[in-house]
Amino acid sequence: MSTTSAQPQGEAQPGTADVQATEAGATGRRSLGGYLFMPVLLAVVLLALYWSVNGRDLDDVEAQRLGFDNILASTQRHLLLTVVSTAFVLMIAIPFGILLTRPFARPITPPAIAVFNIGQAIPSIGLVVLLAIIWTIGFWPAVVGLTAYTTVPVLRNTMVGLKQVDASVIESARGMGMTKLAVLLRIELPLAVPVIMAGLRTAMTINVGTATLAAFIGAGGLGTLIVSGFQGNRPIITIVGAVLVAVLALLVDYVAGVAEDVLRPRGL
Amino acid sequence: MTDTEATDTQDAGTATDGGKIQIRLENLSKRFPGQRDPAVDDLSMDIPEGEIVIFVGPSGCGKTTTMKLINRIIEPTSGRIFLDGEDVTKTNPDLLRRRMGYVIQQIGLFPHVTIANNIATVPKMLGWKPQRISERIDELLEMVGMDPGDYRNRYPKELSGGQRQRVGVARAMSADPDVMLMDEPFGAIDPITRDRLQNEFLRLQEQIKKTIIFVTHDIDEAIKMGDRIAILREQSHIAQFDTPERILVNPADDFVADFIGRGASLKRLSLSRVRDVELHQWPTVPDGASRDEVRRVLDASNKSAVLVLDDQRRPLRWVNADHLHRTDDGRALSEIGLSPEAVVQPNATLSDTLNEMLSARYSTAIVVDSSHAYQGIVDIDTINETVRSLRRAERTRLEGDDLEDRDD
Repeated sequence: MSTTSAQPQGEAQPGTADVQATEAGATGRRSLGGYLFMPVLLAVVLLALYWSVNGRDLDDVEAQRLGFDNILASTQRHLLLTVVSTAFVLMIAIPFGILLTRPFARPITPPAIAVFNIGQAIPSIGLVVLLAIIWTIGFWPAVVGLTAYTTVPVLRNTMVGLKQVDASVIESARGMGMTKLAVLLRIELPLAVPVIMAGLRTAMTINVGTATLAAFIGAGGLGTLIVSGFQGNRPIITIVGAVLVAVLALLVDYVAGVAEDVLRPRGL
Repeated sequence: MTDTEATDTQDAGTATDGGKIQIRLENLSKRFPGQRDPAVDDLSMDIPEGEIVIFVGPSGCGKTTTMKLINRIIEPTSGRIFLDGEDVTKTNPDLLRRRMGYVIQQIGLFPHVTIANNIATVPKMLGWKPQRISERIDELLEMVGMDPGDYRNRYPKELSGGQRQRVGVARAMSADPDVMLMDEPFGAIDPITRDRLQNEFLRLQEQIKKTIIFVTHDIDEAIKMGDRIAILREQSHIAQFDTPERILVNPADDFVADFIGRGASLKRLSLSRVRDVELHQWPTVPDGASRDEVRRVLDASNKSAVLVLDDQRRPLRWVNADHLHRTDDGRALSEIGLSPEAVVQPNATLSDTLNEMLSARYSTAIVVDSSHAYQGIVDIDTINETVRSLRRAERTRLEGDDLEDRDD
């Protein structure tokens, strides 16, 4: 996997030059081979899927469901559910994570975390269906359900990320006359980025999987393929839907992993 | 303001000998919520300009808390703080801190920021121009003995503990503050590096003349580093605030005497420096001297070896008759004999010099000047004699102080 590290520095690929140049700053970053492995694997899986579906006789329903237009639309919808709910998660979890780690918030931290935990404790299928019954069906209740489900990991990682910042670093920053806001923005948050990103990555990956359930309340997405395959007793549709969800989840995880590497402050 | 006697300050808190006062603490107290006794109780003291004042005391005596009250990392419950005559007890604490350098034991360099940007923290906040900041970074790195070209763009984790410590000091001095607060700055460093950093810091202080408040629990470090030492007991009560000499010679009470521990005259070796004692001379030969010349010099002296110096008079080797005999094959003098191990500069303390001697193979230390040229030697007898005369002086001074006490 790691082939570039064995090469002399001058021959390193352009993409990894920076990794080679700052040896100590490179921990956690991968070699070019490491970065290519997952996309290539996913492409192979998709090709195999395409090849095996193409080689079969499909009836009208299967042909319609597995047609390019339908799959593209379902995938886009699925991604939209994931991205919109993740955006809400960020808007809720990071500010609250910051707030709950400030010294003045110490008394309210445990009850606040308990409230957020409810969202994760309720099974997501139950929450989504419940929202559909008491509110409405479609896109927005699905987004609310997904958001409630994945706020906790990001919130918790934001808090852990901020709390693990070395107290002496904060003390020396304050001691040099940095304001509390400057310490938060320039010291605490950058140093918490790796942990926050790890939480976000988990949240997004969970969201891709959980968004499948949105099909039950008419929010669309790749879950629709899985459900309709069951209902029409056409396993091929279910299989294609399931494989696509898995590929999408791995792809999102991969992209978030790359983002983690890129956003991690140098020097850590 | 200047009328110290008018306040009910204890004698112990006013040992400034009439120098300019940089920091004045007036009846400073700190009571933490939920604790019965205050951590700092009614502390008053004057800190003179340009001196290193050490806060030393057993753990839990409130010395670190007291230091943090000065830059208001911990806000005092009552009392007042004056910086350069100005009451800073209620001013904006962030702006106050930018006027004071701050070094803590763990140093607390920003790990995600380069050395240059770590040092630039305060100048940037003060709105310096980039050009000026950049020049200042280079100047400071050179001042603490690090090559700017090599270290500017490194990250803290790429440095050794001693280097981080230097960067910490450079960062604290970045905006040229008049006052530096240092909380056990050399505490987390191995003893050998600590010794070197202490010496470097003292040399630096001779040039920069900052007002420094330095917290330690180590009385030896206090004696070595301090122009004045405040020995604190519980709740930051001042047991004695005086020069190291006077504290060693005349401890105010049993607490101070206990804290100094035994061997006060041995400790005073940390106060005497090589430049204070008379250097002896040793037979030397230049690097290019012939073996016959060396033998002649050896025979003419009553010593067993000669010191070989290079063309800039820097010590190269110890060579004795045995070395000459065993290596009679035309090798250069610089290639035979023993390398000089115990080499000290005039500002080294006698205590360090003694240490060097004991770890070297011979009881003689070579003294060199700042360009490493040979000056003379200090041997164990010199140190012995110094200890004896210190002890004599101690006794006379004690008797003198007794008279003074009776005058009070």
